[in-house]
Order: sequence, then structure tokens, then C-alpha cells
Amino acid sequence: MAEKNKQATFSNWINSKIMPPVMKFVNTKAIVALQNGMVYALPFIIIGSIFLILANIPIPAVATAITNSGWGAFFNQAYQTTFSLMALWGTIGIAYVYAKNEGYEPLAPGLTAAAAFLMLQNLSVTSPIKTAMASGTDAMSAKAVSAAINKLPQALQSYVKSPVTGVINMSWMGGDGMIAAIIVGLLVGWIYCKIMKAGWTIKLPKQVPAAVANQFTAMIPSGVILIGTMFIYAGFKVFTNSDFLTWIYNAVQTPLQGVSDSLGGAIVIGFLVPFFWFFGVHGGLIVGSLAGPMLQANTFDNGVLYKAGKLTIGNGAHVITNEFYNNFINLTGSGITIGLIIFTLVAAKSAQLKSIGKLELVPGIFNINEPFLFGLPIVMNPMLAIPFFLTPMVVAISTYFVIKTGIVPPLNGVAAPWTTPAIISGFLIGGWKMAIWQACTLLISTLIYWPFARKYDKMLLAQEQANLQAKK
Amino acid sequence: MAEQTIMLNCAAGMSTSLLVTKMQEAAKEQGIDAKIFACPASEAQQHLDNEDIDVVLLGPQVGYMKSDFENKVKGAGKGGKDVPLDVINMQAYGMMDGKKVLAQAESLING
Repeated sequence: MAEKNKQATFSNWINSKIMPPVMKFVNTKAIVALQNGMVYALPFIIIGSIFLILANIPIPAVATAITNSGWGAFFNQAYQTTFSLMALWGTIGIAYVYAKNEGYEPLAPGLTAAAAFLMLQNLSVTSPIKTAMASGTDAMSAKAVSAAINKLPQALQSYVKSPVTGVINMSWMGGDGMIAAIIVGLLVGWIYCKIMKAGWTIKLPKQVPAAVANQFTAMIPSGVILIGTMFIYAGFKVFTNSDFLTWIYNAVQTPLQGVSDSLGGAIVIGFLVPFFWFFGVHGGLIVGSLAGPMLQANTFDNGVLYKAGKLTIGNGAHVITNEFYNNFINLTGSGITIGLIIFTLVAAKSAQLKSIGKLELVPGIFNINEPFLFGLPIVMNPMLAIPFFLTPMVVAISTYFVIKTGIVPPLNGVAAPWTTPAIISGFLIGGWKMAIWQACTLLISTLIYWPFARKYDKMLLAQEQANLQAKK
Repeated sequence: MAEQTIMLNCAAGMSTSLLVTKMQEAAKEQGIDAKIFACPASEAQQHLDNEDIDVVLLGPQVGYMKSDFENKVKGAGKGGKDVPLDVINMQAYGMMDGKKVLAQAESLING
């Protein structure tokens, strides 16, 4: 009884002191917009992944055949215009959701965010000739030419030196522009709604059809935002001879990506998911929406290396990508509860565990485990808290090391939907070695959960028998 | 058209859709003519705008969205009334107890 009281006090303390600020934070307009806005990029990422796999099938003979047939280039085109534009989709989605939640017609702010995002970057890429010459890999001793560039004819010199203009730099559209895309999407959504709320709109007479009037409504807020954006672009160009996106990339994204792709990052992510779930809050959703953009950028970087056939840690591949999160830390559901499923099916004696194990088996295969979280329950249950916290962290740390040390090759940048069953997803996101490692993590889960589940099962069984006795 | 429309929301609409099947079975048994469906919380607004929904139930894992949903359901029901809203009982949700959750929905509609 005393034990139960202590438990109740603890849960009260958590519910009154810890949860309100957490809830307040996850309910802020910005976080909601970020969460729901990025969802719009997801189909493009997953469809693009299919083309990434098709263009780079892990069997060399097939890959060569596809390249030679000419289809490789088509697959690549499809990949470049879906997955590779994920920052663009993200910024549109975020501004869209933000305005929609505020009750305004959302497409105009979404498109305004796209325009602002494009406006903030230099529309040029470094001359490919210059890049190729600097790396000095071809037979003409281009390095020598490059060193003596001032001896070349004037016209040729300027051609080599000046960047290619009139193009969109694709590197900003994918992973590198991710953080800037979020910032732009949120700011545009926020400012747009502020202006609408203040009533700075062109009001047309009532006879004008709504569709026409709506276009005019967007004119002032979008205009103000885009004019402001132009000044920001101009400011960066004049004072730093760079652009906003480059600055964000260096000042914010690179450090964040570095943090997310570290052992510490793996541990923190592995800890936070069960932490939120323990209190009954969807940890996967919350952690995913905060860490997701960095992890997706990491995924994207690996995809680029994979496409170039240079996917190794030595070449700068990331260990922790979005798939590390989806298909390892949350494998078979948050807390990697496969071990519990196996226990309940094989060894459980209490009616409660047995019946719920049957219920969870199929959803568990597709990485859904709410029946366990609320039914066993795991939420607020000190008996299962230790393995629930421990398993994701152990899996995160061990997966980090097997990839870091090269035992298993890095994740290849393919995004499998999070509902893809274990082992199949491992094969898609990293080849057969990854699939085998995924199977190992399932074993780890079973080993960790087993003793705790057995103790819990015994307790439930005793309770059930006591209840039966009482009824007699 | 069914007499009642019950909407369930969770993060991705996945685990609630399991519950939907169980609730449909329970409704059939009890002779209740109800349309029951699950969708991600992010799509709830659309359904509220376009359909006559009699009750909204949130999965416990997105229970923290309740205050957000209170604004959404305001005046979204038939004749400009608020749509009743609640978080699904945690135990019933975990055990995928369609009967219990259906009863919760019915009492919200009739209450």
C-alpha cells in the first residue's frame, strides 16, 4: 500500500510539475507547424528514395546494367526533383500549416515562403571547370593549368573563374538548406499571419468573386515579406559577400548536425523517446519533429555519398541519420518492445500479458506498440521502466559503434517508411549487413526485457490468483 | 449515411485504426449505426470542416493536444454546436477494448 502511495505521489509530481511546461512547449505554434509541415515533404522523400535505390542497386552487375541502359539517368532525374528538393517542400509545408492553423488561406503564405527561401540564396554555382581543375584528377595536369591561370587568354580566364549563373544551386534544396528552410517557413508563416491580423489587406467590394479577392488579400502581406527578404539578401551580399543560407548553414546547421551525429546525440535521442512515452506522451513524434530536420539532412548527405559510390565513414558519411532513429531506436515501436512481445507469447503465464501479447504481435511487426504502452501498461509503470529506458539507449550506443568502426557500412540515405518491418527495413537502408545487425538488436531487446517482464508477469499472476480466490 | 460519425485521432492514425476495427465490431453487435474512422491529428481540421462529426476522441498519446482541439471543435458540430471531445481512457486504449471506447463515445454524444 505504501508502495502504491509513493507511486501516486511521484506521478502527481510529474503531472503537475514536469508535464505542463513540456506540453506548453510542444503545443507552441512553431513546433506544431514544424511537426505537421514537414509531413508534406515526407512523400517526396520516400518516393525519391525508391528512385535512389533503383539507380544504385547494391548488386554491382545490376547497377552497371541499369546505368548502361540509360535508365540510371532517368531514375536520377526523378530523385533530384523529389528527395533533393526536400528543403523546398519543407519550407512551403511549414508556412502553409502555420497559416492554416491561424485560420488564413494557406497556399499564398506557403508559396511566399518558397519565394523567400529562393531569394535568400545566391542563384549560382561554382564553375565546374574550376572545381575539376582544382582537384587535378584528369590527365591534362589541370593543376598546373590552374596555377598558371593568369597566363590563359582573358576570355577563358574569366569563364573559368566566374560562377555559373542563372541556375538554382541544388545543394541548398536538399539537406544543406534544411535549417534555413525551417527558419524561413516559420518566419514567413508568423509574419504573414501578423500582418493579416493587423488588417493590412486590400479589401475589394463584395461583388468581386472570392477567388479573385483572395489573391488580392495575399498581396500586401506577401509583398511586405518579400521586400524585407530582398533587403536581407542585399545586406548579406554587400556586407559579407555571401548569402543568408550559407550563413545559417555554417553558424547553425553544421554544429547541430555535428551534435546530432555524435555518440552524445545518439544517447540523448535514445533516452528522450522513452522518457516522453513513460509519461504517456508520444515521444517518437516529439523527438522526431525536433531532431528530424538534422537527421534528415544527415540522411540526405549519406544519399549523396551513396549515389557517388563513396559511402564510408572516412568520406564523411554520418552515423546517425533519420533511419537510425526510425529503424533502430524506434524499431518495433518506441522502446524496442519486441523483447516483450516474444516474452508474452512464449513465456507469459498471467492472463493479462498473454492476451495483450496476441494483440500486439501484428502491430509490433509494423513498429506500432501503443497496445503495449497503454495496455501492459508501460506508461507510468515502474516495473518495466528500466528495460524501457535501457533498450533504446543500448541499441543506440551499440549501433553507433558498429557503424563507426566499419563493422556495418553506414546507412545509405534511403528512407524506408517507419512502418517497414525489421530486417526488411535494414536491408533497404543499409544492405544485408544492416539487416543482420537489426536482427541482433531484436535479440538485445529480448535479453534486456526478459528478466523484468518475468518479474512483472509473476506479480500479475499472483494478483490474478488472489482475485480468483476472493471471488470464490 | 450512418446515424453517427465518430472520429479518432492519434499521431499517424495507425494505432487508432486498430481500435476502429474493434469499435466497429462492437457497434455491429449492439446494433449501433455509426461511421467510425481514424486519422492523423494533423488532418482532423479538414474532417471537422467538411463532415458532420458527432464526437472526437483523442488517443492518450496525443492527449496533450486536447487544448488545441478544444478550439477546433468549437462550433464545428451540427447547427453550430461544439463537437464533444475527450481523450480515450488509457487502459481501454491499450487493451484495444472497442466496447468500452464505443461506450465512452456514446456517452459523450448523448451527454
